[in-house]
Amino acid sequence: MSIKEPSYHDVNYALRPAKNIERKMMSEVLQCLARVGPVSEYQYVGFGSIFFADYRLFHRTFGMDRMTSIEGYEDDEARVKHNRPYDCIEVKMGMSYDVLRFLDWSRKSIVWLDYDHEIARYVLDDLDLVSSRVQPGSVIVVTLDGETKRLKDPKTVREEELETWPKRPRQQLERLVGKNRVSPELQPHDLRGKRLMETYRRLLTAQIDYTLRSKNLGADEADRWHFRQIFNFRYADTAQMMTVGWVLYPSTDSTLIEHCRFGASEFCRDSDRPLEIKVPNLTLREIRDLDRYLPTGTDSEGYRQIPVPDHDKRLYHKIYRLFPTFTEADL
Amino acid sequence: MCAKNVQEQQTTFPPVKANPSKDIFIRMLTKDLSLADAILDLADNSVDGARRTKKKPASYEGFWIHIEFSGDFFRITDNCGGIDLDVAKNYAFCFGKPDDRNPERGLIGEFGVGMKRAVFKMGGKFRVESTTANSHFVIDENVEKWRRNKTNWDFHFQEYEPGLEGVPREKIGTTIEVTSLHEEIASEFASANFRSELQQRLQAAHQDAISHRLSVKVGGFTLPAESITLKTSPKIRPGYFAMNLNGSPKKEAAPINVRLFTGISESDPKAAGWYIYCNGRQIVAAEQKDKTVWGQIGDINIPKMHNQFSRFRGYAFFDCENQSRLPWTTTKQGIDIESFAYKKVRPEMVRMTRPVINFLNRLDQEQELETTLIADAVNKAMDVSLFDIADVGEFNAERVLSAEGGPKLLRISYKKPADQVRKVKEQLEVTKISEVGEVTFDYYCKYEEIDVD
Repeated sequence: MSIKEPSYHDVNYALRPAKNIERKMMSEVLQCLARVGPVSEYQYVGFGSIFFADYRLFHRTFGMDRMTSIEGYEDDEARVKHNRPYDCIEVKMGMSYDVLRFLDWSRKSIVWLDYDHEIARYVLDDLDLVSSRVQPGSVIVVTLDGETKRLKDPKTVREEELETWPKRPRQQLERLVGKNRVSPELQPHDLRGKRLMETYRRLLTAQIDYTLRSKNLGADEADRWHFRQIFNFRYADTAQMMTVGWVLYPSTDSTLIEHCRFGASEFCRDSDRPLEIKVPNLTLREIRDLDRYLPTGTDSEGYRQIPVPDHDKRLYHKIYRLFPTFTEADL
Repeated sequence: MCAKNVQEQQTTFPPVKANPSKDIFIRMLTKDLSLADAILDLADNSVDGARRTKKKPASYEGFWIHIEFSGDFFRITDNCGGIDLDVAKNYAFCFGKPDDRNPERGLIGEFGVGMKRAVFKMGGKFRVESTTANSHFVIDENVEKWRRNKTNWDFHFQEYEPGLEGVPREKIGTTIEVTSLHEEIASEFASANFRSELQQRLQAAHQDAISHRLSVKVGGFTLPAESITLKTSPKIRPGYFAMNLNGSPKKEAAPINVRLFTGISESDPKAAGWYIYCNGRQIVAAEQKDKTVWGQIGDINIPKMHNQFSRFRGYAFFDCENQSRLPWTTTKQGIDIESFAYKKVRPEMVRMTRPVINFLNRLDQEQELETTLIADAVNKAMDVSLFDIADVGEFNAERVLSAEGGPKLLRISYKKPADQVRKVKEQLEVTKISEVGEVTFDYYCKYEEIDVD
């Protein structure tokens, strides 16, 4: 939800392999929610752009029939609506912070705030709003552009403001999220390279924590809300991206959430150690050859003899079930 | 009714009760300040202790304050001299500062409410332990039990040791601990956002002491000193003004030392404005309204704060041995605009602001004209600490302004459909929309052979 042009003008989201794999990994973890209730009855809220790749996957996987896509780029309204793959998807035009507050939150929700830019004050405000409204057992996911250069050249800041944009990363972050949120404890290296994404994760986590603590004031123990991180992905199809997600629930549902056994899923990440999605470049023929030996035949001579670098073989082994294959098709 | 009757009846009528209630202090006064403000009050007391005992006037070397908290407790510990037993017994825990107490030299904790208000705000139990060079005491109170006794307002010593000798230096200091935290306080203490906010507030409020080597730790993290700077170069000189307010209204009163600094810094609409410090404690930050200089003040008219002034910074330091003469409010979060000191100094603040505003207006006009002479001079200037500014005088950038020149430029602005602009931008391989306008204009001039030199 950038105020500048949307990134889907430059990138075909359907063809980004790491993002494609991330969606499938999320989908696998979200299946754990079945213990809370039928996932088909959840509503899905996201930013579908013109590709709706996540909507296709979740509708096919879970059978959700209430889906809302928020689109901020008003000029593309006709195009976005034209590309809706199913009629159960409602497109709402407007910026996330204008649209989210008017949505109906009476159903359990899976909300994917799939931003294509750096952290910003309104990202934290969106997270605050959604985490204060959702029903027990709902999932909130946030994706951000984690490139260090985005602090210097943020997508969410208007050109006029950039003319006087500060030079130091700390001050840049302070301008993006507000001075009070940027602890003096943050060191310069926390704002460089991959550490920046961990800093973002902490800011997002601190926001949910703060929102739920406020919500819990005066509440009985049984009604107090908690959150548990279930996603921590990083990948770079083009820009370095990060995704964090949490399930939110009151104390009365704690046992139910335990029974979901999110941790049993190989793609769940509940800590600061992210799951890095790395995609090897393989030909279709190599994929077919490798698949014949997976998952258990990796010690065999035949597998060893496939002329693919060991590093790529290891990467492929981790994600082969979810690996996307793109090929030209004349439809 | 004749006068005699009134007199007779007064001896027989019941008295009209005007007793204070403990509830006012426990429940009401604590609503006047935020949790961060309450902790700042406690830190003020510690800084006062250090000010009282430090040997070198300019340095807090060797003094420290440690603040720790969680969902279960709050604790502030310092080595700033301790609370004297006599002070503890007769003054420190009183509600309001007793009249017979002489104002102390150059301190911050003026109003005698801070410590109690802070601990009442946080929780139901508190413990104060303090050791000086010759005494030691412990007070451990359950606020609810204390509240139930309507008549007795005293707290009680659990340990009371006057006349000690040879107390080792490392034992000297004070620890205040609050437990049985109120629910909303426990919630704040457990949140990372609050921790960050408190660190920022402490860092700003005691910027002066921290930059003079006071060590303040929050949750084990030592707050770094952030020096206050203004842009300085051979062509840009910050404004500096110093004065002593003596005598009046009370001739015998301690003088108030005032220092004002004005100038420019990084462009930041939220950080622009006036900052005011009393005895080193920041009480106002980035003030942008008519409490300081913005708008009509008396006969002088300074424009209202606007984005074009986002580089403006003004700093006012008031220091006085008698803290009651300083222009602060009880919460130390505001300026007492009716105070003698502020009334005397504010017109100077206005005068010191004017030349900076004039300069920033010129900088803004330059942007309209698309030249960068003034902006270049600003960008080349160095950040210099206020404490290294010694030359008294108004903000002066005349040498930058007099060097202005070059061809006169005009701004053109127009709108075109987004798709079209995007296509042209791609074709021109430029990154900014403004460049689309510039490059297409140059293109026209080139092919129409219009001489732009």
